[in-house]
Amino acid sequence: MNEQELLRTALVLPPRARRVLCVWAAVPGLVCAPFAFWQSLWAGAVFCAVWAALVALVRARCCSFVAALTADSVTVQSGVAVPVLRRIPRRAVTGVQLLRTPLLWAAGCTVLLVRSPGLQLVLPGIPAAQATALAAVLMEGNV
Amino acid sequence: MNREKHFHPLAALHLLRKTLLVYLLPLVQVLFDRNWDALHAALRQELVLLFFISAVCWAVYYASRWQVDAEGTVHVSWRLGVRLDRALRAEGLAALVLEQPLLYRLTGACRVVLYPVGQTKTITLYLTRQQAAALADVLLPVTEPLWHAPKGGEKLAFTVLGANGLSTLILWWLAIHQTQSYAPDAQTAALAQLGQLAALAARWLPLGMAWLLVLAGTLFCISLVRSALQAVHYTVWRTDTQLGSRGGFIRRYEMRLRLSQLNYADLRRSPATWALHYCPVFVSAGACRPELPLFVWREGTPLLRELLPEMAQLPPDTRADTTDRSMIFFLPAGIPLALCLLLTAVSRTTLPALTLPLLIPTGVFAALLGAAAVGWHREGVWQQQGQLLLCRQHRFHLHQLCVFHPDTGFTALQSPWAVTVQRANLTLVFPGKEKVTVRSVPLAALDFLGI
Repeated sequence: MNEQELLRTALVLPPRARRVLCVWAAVPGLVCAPFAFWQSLWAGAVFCAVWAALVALVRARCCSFVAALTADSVTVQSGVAVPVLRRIPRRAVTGVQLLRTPLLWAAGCTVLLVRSPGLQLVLPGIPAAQATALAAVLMEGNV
Repeated sequence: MNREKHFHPLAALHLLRKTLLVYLLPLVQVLFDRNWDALHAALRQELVLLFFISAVCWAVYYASRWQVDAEGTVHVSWRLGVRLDRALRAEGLAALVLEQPLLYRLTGACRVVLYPVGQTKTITLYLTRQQAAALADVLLPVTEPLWHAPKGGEKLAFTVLGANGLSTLILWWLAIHQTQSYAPDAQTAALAQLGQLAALAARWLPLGMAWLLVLAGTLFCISLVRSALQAVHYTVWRTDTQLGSRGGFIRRYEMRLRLSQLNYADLRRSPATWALHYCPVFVSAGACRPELPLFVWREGTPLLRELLPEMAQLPPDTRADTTDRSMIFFLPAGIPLALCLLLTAVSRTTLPALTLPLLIPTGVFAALLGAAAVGWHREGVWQQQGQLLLCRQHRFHLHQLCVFHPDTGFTALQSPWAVTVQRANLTLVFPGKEKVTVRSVPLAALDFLGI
């Protein structure tokens, strides 16, 4: 994937990446759930319901995630009820970081962190090929 | 300049100061035993600790070096078993500040604070005055400067507009707190003096109100004196590459900001600026945010154009579009105002003596509500000729900002209500992590973000 293709493509999270992120969000709840059930059955049930709602929120946020590369900036937009848009000028990018866990590797996705002196963008679980290409384009620096 | 040099011995004292908490450890035993033997033992242990830590600090000072190489890169190395080296290229410097409080001036020392580009972590060096001046001239040389020194009314306006009551209050409290162990009666004596003034004021006013008035007046006078001392010998300059200022009577300071790293210029308008017809201009570079204005500008004079030609235009002097604008502006002042009004109403029947003192916070919050109304009408974002201009209200000040830095990050946040009315809160994040937020801006004004 080259820069021209990236400029034409909006990066979204594929379903498998969304599942991985939901698993990540669910893990702390699964760890804590036995302690809640230990108090009472009702407490455990309420805790599970609340945590399931939180995971659903994470999934909704993942569905709304869009990242886009333009000629002079990289923009990330996410959120349904509380939409947030973050934009970093490409010339301000000081570093990128790629993270692949076994789950992400199985899903063919990567977490990409784009760093600038002020802001930091997190692109969680975008396809590995797009993430690698975006990282390479951002680190070229000749904007 | 190219060879390695030691820091000023005050660097060792500064290190020693950081270990003050260690001396509390032996006193824990005294807390349990509460007898003279335990106290003597603790004092002996503290003496040993003092000698040991002083020796370590002296060793660190003796082994540590700094130098500037031929390319203008500053190398700082701290050594004691572990070696910690830091290097900073001259081009990677956003700003530098030289400070000389009284103790430093008596010992010929100078504190140099270097602000690297895009970082919040600064580098602080303790050097001799001559070394500090030479280092500043290597990193940010002053070549063919355009000088400006405020005089007469401008100096007076600089003093009044530079007075910062909040920071003075913090410094005042800190000074009282620090001196309490040396002079326990000082605080009582100071309060007794203020009490006499309050007693005088209480002839015409209720006692609580008189105290509040005296405390506020004292604080204002102290901050005025502090600002006046800072404004002595004040000079500001501009070269092709930097903006700078220096001044101070007891505490001398000098600041140099790289022009290419300026985040923004900020004209702060308040009732005081309207009364004086002068407006303070603040600038920031990297993580360096000076407390004092760079200069005060009389509207209509060419001073702003001469010192800051980048600030070619100011935010338009028009009312913002307030259709469906969020009422969040009024909440921070509105809620306490309602509470104060309620308390005042209740005190009329239950504690009439409290009614008048309660009117003071009520008045302050009412004034803040008025300022919020100004913000509601004026806050906004404009992009004119490629330059981003902002207007935002913060407490009593209306900030008119002109953004200079091209590497500014943006965050636009919308609440569910803001989504329905097509508005967003825009936050600008400058290198050095400084943030500026403009509230409830129409999305139409943010077309440069491509939302």
